[in-house]
Amino acid sequence: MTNAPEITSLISDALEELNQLMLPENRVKVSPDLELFGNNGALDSLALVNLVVILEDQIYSRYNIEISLAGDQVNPQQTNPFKNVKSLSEHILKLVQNRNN
Amino acid sequence: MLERPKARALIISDFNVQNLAGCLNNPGHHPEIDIEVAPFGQVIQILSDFSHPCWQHPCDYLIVWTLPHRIAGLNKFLDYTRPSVDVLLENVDRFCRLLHEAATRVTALFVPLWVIPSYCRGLGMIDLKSEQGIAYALMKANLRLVENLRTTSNIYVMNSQRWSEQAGARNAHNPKLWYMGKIGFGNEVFKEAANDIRAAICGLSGQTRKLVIVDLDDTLWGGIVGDIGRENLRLGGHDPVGESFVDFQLALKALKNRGILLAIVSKNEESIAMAAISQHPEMILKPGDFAAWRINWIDKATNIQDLVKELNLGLQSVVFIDDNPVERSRVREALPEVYVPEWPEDKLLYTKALFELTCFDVPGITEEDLARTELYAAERKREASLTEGTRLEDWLCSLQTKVIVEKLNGCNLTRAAQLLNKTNQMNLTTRRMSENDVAEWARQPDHFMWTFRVSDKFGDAGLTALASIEVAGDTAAVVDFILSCRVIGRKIEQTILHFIEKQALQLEIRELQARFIPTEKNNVCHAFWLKESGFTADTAETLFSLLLQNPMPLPDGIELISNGT
Repeated sequence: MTNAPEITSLISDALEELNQLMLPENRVKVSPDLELFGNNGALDSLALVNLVVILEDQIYSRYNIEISLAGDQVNPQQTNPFKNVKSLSEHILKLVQNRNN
Repeated sequence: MLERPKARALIISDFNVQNLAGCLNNPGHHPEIDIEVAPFGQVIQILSDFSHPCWQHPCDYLIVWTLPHRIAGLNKFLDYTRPSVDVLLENVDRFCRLLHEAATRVTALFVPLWVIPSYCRGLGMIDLKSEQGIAYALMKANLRLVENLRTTSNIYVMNSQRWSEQAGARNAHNPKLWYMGKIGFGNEVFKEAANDIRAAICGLSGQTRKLVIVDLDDTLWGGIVGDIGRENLRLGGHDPVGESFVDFQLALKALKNRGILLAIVSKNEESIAMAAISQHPEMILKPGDFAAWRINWIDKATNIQDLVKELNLGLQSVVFIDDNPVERSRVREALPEVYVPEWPEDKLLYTKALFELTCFDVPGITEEDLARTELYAAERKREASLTEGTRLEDWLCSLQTKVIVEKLNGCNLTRAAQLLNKTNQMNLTTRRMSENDVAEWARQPDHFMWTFRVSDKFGDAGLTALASIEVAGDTAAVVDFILSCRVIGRKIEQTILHFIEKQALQLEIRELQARFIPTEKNNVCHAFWLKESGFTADTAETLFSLLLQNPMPLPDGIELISNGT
């Protein structure tokens, strides 16, 4: 049911919501090319924590499934799923599809 | 023009409150606040040490939000390690002493109640029965916190339990936020907290809405009275919609009872609509509950402007409630200062929507607030008595006005602070001060502040004016000269000047000065000082001076009564 554009749109919504929790100087310009976390990333670790929780809540509301975006199986040292919107979208899509299967 | 400076707030917490700071700083929300967040986890250190860097810049508002575990010692109850309610209450008392001290440095201090996650069941069925119960201890600690702080005028304990309930169990506490970011609550809680804190700051700075204007058909009752007749309106009875309209009217009446004015703007035949209001057996609101009404076929925005003018209020005081989205949109566009909340289509949700409005928060409720609608009714009679051809002076004499003046004291302090913070038009300097600041200012030996209560044969307008002077040698500066718009133009201005000049002469003052600070709204004050004060203006027309010889005469027909000056 889910597809990449839908997840990208979900991430955009989550980033908009994240902006409401951030001081003006830390707010991000939401775009599909946004570098999120790591080198040149727009988010600090606190913002990333917030983004993860917002996304998990949105996925629960939209698809009625509980997933853990930053679970034990994620090792940002090896592959950083939070690097940018594209990598995060792929990460979410994989988790959602795994849960659906 | 005087620009209202941005308020500055400091948040001290023992958990990560960056998200609250973000919510408080959201663009488009009013008022704008500059936020500083103290490093978290150092609550006691910061509250005990005013040389800490986070006290370096003065702040208007302080928010101290803590978890009950360490500050109150609730962790002993959570761990079941020999908890003692007495020790818990001693911890609360110690914390409150620090809060009292911190409150002396700010305009207002906000302290959210302590809460614990709802998934924490404590001792289950005996959690409120046993002295070792967590819920029992939490209630005791919160009650002690409230009792210790409630009498300090600038400390406000905020009901954070409501924030958690509004957020819902799933969103109120999120263990992931705690473990990954030491964020004590879910973000929905922070949004609710930010709404309440912003509303409180608006209330403290006099930006509260004072008038609710309602439509009639399908807003105050179900159906269109002109089409179906009053006997067929859906109001009361064994009908969910009818019952909900009764509750909505009860909620409006509750607002009126706490000092918010009600008015009607409706497209209807006035005679038909007023007959329904007066005679429908289930109507809760009666004509006497409304300060004014415009029931006709004229554009609602025009009617609102006209009605607000009659009540001597500004458009920024108004909330307009109408079920019709077209009318809401029209008023929003024509009168952007009027607050027009989105209104639910479902009539069963009207009362909830009214309760959810945060624009009526005030730091205190005075006698004048409670009698406000009656004051406007008296004003209608007063105006009606000014018939065509009557000389203004004769009319003023016929009112038999009494002005009671008294020094600032504990009984009139709340109302005095309210006048300072809410009055825009007849206000010399528009300085805004908390109750504490007003009391502190008036305590200084060279400062004098008086309040004036005005009444006449039509009723008591209440404590409606304030004046103050600051003496330096043989000169005195008029610092405040404030009149509620209710009594402007009834020679109360001259009465106050008469009183000030008499007092100044008794203090052997040679010269009085008054510096006018212009704002967008106090032109009427400037006009008075320029044309009717008897003072001489400088070339910029902002500094007014008077060499004292004889005081301005007391206006004819006014009785000035001194009650401890």
